[in-house]
Amino acid sequence: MEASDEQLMLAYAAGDATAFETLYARHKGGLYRFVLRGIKERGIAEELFQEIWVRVIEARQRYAPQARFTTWLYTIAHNRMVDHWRKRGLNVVPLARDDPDDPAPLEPAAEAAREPQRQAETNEQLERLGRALHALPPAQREAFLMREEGGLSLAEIATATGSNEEAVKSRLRYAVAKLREALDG
Amino acid sequence: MAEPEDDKVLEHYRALGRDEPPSELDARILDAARRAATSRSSRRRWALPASIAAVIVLSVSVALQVQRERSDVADQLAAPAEGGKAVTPAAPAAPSASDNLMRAPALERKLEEAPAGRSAQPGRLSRQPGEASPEKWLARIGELRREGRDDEANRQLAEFRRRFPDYRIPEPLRQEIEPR
Repeated sequence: MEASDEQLMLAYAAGDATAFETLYARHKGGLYRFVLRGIKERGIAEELFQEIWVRVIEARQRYAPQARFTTWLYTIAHNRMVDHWRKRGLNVVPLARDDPDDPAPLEPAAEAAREPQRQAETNEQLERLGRALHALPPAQREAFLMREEGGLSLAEIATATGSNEEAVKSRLRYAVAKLREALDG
Repeated sequence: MAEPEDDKVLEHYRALGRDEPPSELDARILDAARRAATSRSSRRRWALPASIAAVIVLSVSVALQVQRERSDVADQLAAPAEGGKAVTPAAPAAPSASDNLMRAPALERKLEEAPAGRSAQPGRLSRQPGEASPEKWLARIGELRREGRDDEANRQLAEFRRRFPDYRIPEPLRQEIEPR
């Protein structure tokens, strides 16, 4: 039977480097896209991606399989991204912005995504979706990406982001609505 | 997503592509992971033999020292003893070599137990010897805060966060210990 993520992480903490290789192979793609699509700048995203895994390596002795490994991994990722925004002088408050009555306005890029495109319909839609994703408020984008790339449940996203399920549900609903709006152009 | 109206969004999102980290990045991370695992297992491999060797060296040197001191005392007492007084050797000032060797296994047991104790409590953060547990440390910071020693509390809190960056402080406690 295939070892679970939690078993692999415990095996790695006990000194089994091959367990880490399996774990890394399982999660590298999703986590990479989560960071890349959350940060936009590839160089910075790659630095953060590396830092997150270094944190995992350094914290291996403290890992407690009380929650899914994925929840723990994306909690570290969330914290690193918040640190990143802080360092860049961006207030982290917008990260928690999820008031359904006061959704953040779309950035100009997303507005532009609504304009007619000359490219083929599929490419045009994908381009619009990409832009709309980047234009989402960070907390909504993060919730969407954790769900899609990490496969996290609402409760797990709430745990990883220090929020609650209702807020996460609301963020997801608004994220999907805006992405849908961008697709429908 | 469970909601049916999301299907179109998800289909298009997935069509954005499956970006993967470049292979150099993979190699750097896997190398760091291997080095960390190796350094730990090599430490484990050498920890017990090294501790046994240290105990033996220490025991032998203490025994030699005690033996030297005893023969010095015997030399000094030799003359009066000849005057008819029975001389009782002074009580050993230091444990004998056999005492030390008897204690060695206990010390080894402690060394063996240390990692086992950690693995028995995987949720606990690893600590340096003599360092307070995260919970005790946070309680101490709370005390400082209540005593109005904010500077010291801030310094301790910063140090705590540096040592345990991933430790999630429970909400009521966090409000108590964070700067007001």
